[in-house]
Amino acid sequence: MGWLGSALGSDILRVGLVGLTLAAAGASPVAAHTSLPGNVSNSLRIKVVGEIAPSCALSQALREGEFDVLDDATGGSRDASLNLPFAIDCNAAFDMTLSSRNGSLDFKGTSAAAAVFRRSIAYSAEVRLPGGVGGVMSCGSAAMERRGGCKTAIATDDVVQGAGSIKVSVARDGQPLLRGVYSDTLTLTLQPRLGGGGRD
Amino acid sequence: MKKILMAALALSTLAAPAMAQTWQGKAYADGVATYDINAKAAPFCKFGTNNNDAGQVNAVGSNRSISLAEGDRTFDLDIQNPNDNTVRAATISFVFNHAVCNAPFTVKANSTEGGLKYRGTFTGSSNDFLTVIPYNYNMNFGPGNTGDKAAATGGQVLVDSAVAHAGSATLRFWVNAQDKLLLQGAYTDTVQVVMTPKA
Repeated sequence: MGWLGSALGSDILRVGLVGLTLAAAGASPVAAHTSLPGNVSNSLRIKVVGEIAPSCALSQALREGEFDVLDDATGGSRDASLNLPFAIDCNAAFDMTLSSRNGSLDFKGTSAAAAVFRRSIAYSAEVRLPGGVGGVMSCGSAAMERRGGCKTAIATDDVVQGAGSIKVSVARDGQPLLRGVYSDTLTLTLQPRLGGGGRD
Repeated sequence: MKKILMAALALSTLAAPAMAQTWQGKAYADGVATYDINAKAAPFCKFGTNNNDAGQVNAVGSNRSISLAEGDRTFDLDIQNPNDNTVRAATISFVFNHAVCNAPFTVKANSTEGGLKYRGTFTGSSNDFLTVIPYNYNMNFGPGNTGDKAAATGGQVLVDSAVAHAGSATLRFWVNAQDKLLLQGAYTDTVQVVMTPKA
């Protein structure tokens, strides 16, 4: 994969080229002398170092997902799942965090109905990264709401790049659901693990 | 020279993986993805199948099921006063132990005949015999009970609820005593009770 010329590396590579120019300019006055020292060379070795900062990027084709969870036979929830795809590009080891705003799918309507109806639906989420990196991170919605969310360290020396997914699942439960929508906001965060890199 | 160029080209082709991607000029978002998740529940109303009779007076019961669907039953009322063959009061209540509407709803009853209709043949002219026996019904399910209704064709609202409700529901049928004579045979009607979520 060619990273030369990418926005990330260009600044650093430019330093190396400037060094080369200065070195060449420094060589000119030497050439103007009438007598040269005996240890001169017709070649110049310059070490150019490109340093790539650790980074993670996510892109998502969907920002909203909807699924039908009503079990017609019982009026409660059925086993149902929703797949949320994403694309990932990380060039270093990273921490992956999944957090929930509500800790469950909360009923969004207003109803004075009897307490027997569910006002919230607990769910679970499974995160899968491309190539099976890191295995499957599973987490319940209540744990995702707690401080820090669900977090796992992805230790890799390689680039993690490609398609991943979050599978949101609701379990069967006979307690009746109210008509309407139960919602939550789920956030996936990838944070490169610092240390040894140039990123601060 | 031509051979060398061709060989170089071939090597170049071999060196480039078929799935190689272009990285120049790509733009990236940050490492955060946020999703709004919506789980939908459609409106529904259901009568459960765990039901029983209750509060019978001069009634045989409702053990005979018309079908396996929900609360379908045949109710048998014994309305003949054994002393004078007039109509005596009779009532039967039927309890749906589990009923639920997850949205505001109505319950409507629709009598086929508008009363218990005599199924035999009566060619007489006496007004002392009944060919249609009036009866009544009501339903208790949640806060929207509209009260007692005399059976009639065309549908009547038994419950009109502004909120979802779940719990037991009691449907009651009854015949009031009347100073009228009964013909020998059966008087029947079919009532359809429909519970529907409001739009």
